[in-house]
Amino acid sequence: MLGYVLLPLAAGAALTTVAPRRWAAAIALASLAAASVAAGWAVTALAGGGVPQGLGGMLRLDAAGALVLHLVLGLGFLAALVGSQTEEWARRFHALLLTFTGTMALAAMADNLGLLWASVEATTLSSALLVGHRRTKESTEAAWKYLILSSTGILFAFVATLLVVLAARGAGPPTLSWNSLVGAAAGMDTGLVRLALALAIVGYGTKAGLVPYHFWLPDAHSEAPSPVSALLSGVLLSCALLALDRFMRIGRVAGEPMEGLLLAIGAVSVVAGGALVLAARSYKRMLAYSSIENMGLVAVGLALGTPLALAGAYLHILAHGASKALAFFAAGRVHHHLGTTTVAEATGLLRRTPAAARGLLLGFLALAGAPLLGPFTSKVILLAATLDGAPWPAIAAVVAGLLLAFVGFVRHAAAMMPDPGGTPSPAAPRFREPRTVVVAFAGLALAILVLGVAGPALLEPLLELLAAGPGVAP
Amino acid sequence: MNTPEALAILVLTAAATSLGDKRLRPLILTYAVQALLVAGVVISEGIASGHGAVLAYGIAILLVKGIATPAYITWISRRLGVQRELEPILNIPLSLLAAGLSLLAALRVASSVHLEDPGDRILLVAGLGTVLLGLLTMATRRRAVTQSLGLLTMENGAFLVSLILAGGLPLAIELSAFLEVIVLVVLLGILFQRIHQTFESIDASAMTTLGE
Repeated sequence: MLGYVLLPLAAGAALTTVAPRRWAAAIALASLAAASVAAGWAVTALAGGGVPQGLGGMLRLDAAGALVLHLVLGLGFLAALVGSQTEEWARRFHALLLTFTGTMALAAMADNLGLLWASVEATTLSSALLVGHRRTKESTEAAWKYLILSSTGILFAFVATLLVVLAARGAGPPTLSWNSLVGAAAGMDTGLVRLALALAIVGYGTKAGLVPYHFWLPDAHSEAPSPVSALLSGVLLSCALLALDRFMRIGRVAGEPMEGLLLAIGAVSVVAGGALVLAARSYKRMLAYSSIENMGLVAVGLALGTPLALAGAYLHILAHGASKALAFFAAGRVHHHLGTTTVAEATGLLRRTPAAARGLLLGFLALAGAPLLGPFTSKVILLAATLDGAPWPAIAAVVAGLLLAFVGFVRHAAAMMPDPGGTPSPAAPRFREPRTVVVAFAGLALAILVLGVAGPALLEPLLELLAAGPGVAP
Repeated sequence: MNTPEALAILVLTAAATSLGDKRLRPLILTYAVQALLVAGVVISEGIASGHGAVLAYGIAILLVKGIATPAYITWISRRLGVQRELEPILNIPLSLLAAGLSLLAALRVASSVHLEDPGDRILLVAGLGTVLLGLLTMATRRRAVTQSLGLLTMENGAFLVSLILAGGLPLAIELSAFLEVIVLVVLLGILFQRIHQTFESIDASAMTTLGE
C-alpha cells in the first residue's frame, strides 16, 4: 500500500528528465498530487485501526510518520509550484526535487532502521545539487559544506543503527525492523544501547542542525534556491528528528533513555538559535537560524517523550514547516526583486513588494509565536510539557530562546515592512507576484491559521495513536 | 585472530598513516589500500561461507572503492592541478598525537560495552578508530580533495563495524549503502570541479565568502 506513495514520485522523477522542458513542472505537480492521494488513503487506513505496510514490510506507517509524510508531500507540492516560476533548468530542478521529496517520504514511512538510515543519507545526496542549483560562489561553498558535514553525521547514525541491532542480539531473532526492535528493547544490552543512542543523537542531530553540529545549516539554507530552502528547513530537518525519535523510544523501553543529553542539546539549540535570530543581518540567514531554534524545541519535546511533549513536538513540526516554507518562499521573492538579502537594504517592503511582504510578515509573526497562528499553539503545548518535566536550566534556556526569537522577528519585521522614515520615494517600482506563487502563499497562510486555531482538535486521532505508541514516557 | 580482524587492524593502520603525510598521491594510495583491505575482508568471507552473492559484493567493492574511486580522485586532482595538501590546520606531530588520543577513545568505548566474541571487540575498535581518524583527517585538512578522502575513510570504518553483525546487514540495505557511496563520490567530484571553476582553487579554506 505504501509503495503507491513512492511509485508516482519515482515515475515522475524519471519522466521529467526525458519529457519536454515545459512539461517538467506539470509532471512534478501531478506526481506529487498522486502521491498525496495514496498517502491520504494510507492515513485513512491507519486512523481506522489498520497498519499500512509496503515493500515487503520494510515500510510501515505510524502516526508520527503519517504527520511527517503529509508535510513532506504538501511542502513538496508547493515547492514545485513556486519553483516552476522561479527556477531555471526546469527539468533538472524538478527531477531532483521529486527525488528529494521521494527520499524524505521514504524516511517518514521506513520501519526498517537500515532503510531509514539509507533514505536519510539519500536525502542529503539528492538535495546537495539543489543547494548549489544556482552555481554561484556562495551556493557552491554551501553545497560542499552541506554534503561533507551531513554525510559525516549520517555515518555516525549508521554505526548507531548497527549497534542497536547488535544490542538486540540476545533479545530475539536478528531484525532491523523498528517495530520488532522496540518490542524487544527491554531485553537489550544497555551498554550498547547507550553508545548507540549517543551516536544517533550526534548523527541525526547533525542532520537536524542541532547545536553544536549546526555549522553547515545557515549556509545551506540561506544559499539554496528558496523553494529548496523551504523543504530543507521546513521538513528535512524534521525527518532527521523523526529518525532520532525512533532511537529515543528504543532507549526508553530498554531503560537507557539518554534524555539528558538530547534535552541539553535541544535547550542549547533553542537559546543559541534565538540569539542568532536577534543578531542576524540577513533575513535569509535569520530564517535559517530560526530553524536551529525550532528544531531545538522539537528535540526538547522528543527528549521528554511524554504524550503531551510528543503531541507538541509533532504539531510543532507541522506548524513550523508551514510557517518556515511561507517565510522562505516570500523571502526568495523579495530577494529576487530587490537583489539584496540584508535587512537594512530590504525596507519598505509593504509598498515595494506588496504580496511577498504580506507573506513574509505572516511568516515572521507565525515564527515569532504570535497567538492564533500554528507555532503559537504548538509552542504552548511544548512549553507546558517542558515546565512539567524538564529541570530548571532547560526551562530557562527554552523560555529565553523563545523570547529572543520573538524580539528578533518583531524587530526585523518592524525594520523591513514600513518605509524608512515614513517617506516613500515616489518613482520606485512595485513588484507583483505570479498567480501560482500567490496561490502557494494563500495555501500556507490557511494551513498556519487552521493549525493555530484547530490543529490539536483536527489531528486528535493521530495524536492519540502517537501517545499509544511504543516507548512513550509515562 | 581470524582474517577479518587482522585485515581490520591493517585498515586502521592505513588510516593512521594517512594523517602523517601532506602529499596527495600517498593519501589517495593509503585510501586505496584501506578499500582493498575492506574488499579483502568481504571476499575472504565469501570464499569461506561459499555464498556467491557475498563474493560478488566483495569483488564489486574491490573494483569500485579500491580501484575506480582512487583513480577518479587522482584524475580530477591532476586535471585541476592539485598535488599537495596545504599546511594542515594541525601540524603533523600534533595530528599524530590527536590520532593516538582518538584510538584511545575508541578502545575505551569498545571496552565499555559487552561483546561475547573477542573478535567483535577488535572489529569495533578498528571500526570506531577508523571512523575517528577519518573525522580527524577531515577536520584538520584544508583541501576539498583531502576532506573527501577523510569522509571516505570514515565510511570504511563504519563498514568494519557492520561486519560485527553475523551475516551482516540484509543485502538490500548493503547494496543501497554501496550505491550511495558511489553517488557520494560522483557528487564530490562534481562539486570539486564547480569549486575549482568558481574559486579557482580547491582549497576549502578559501571558501570564506559566507558568514556574517
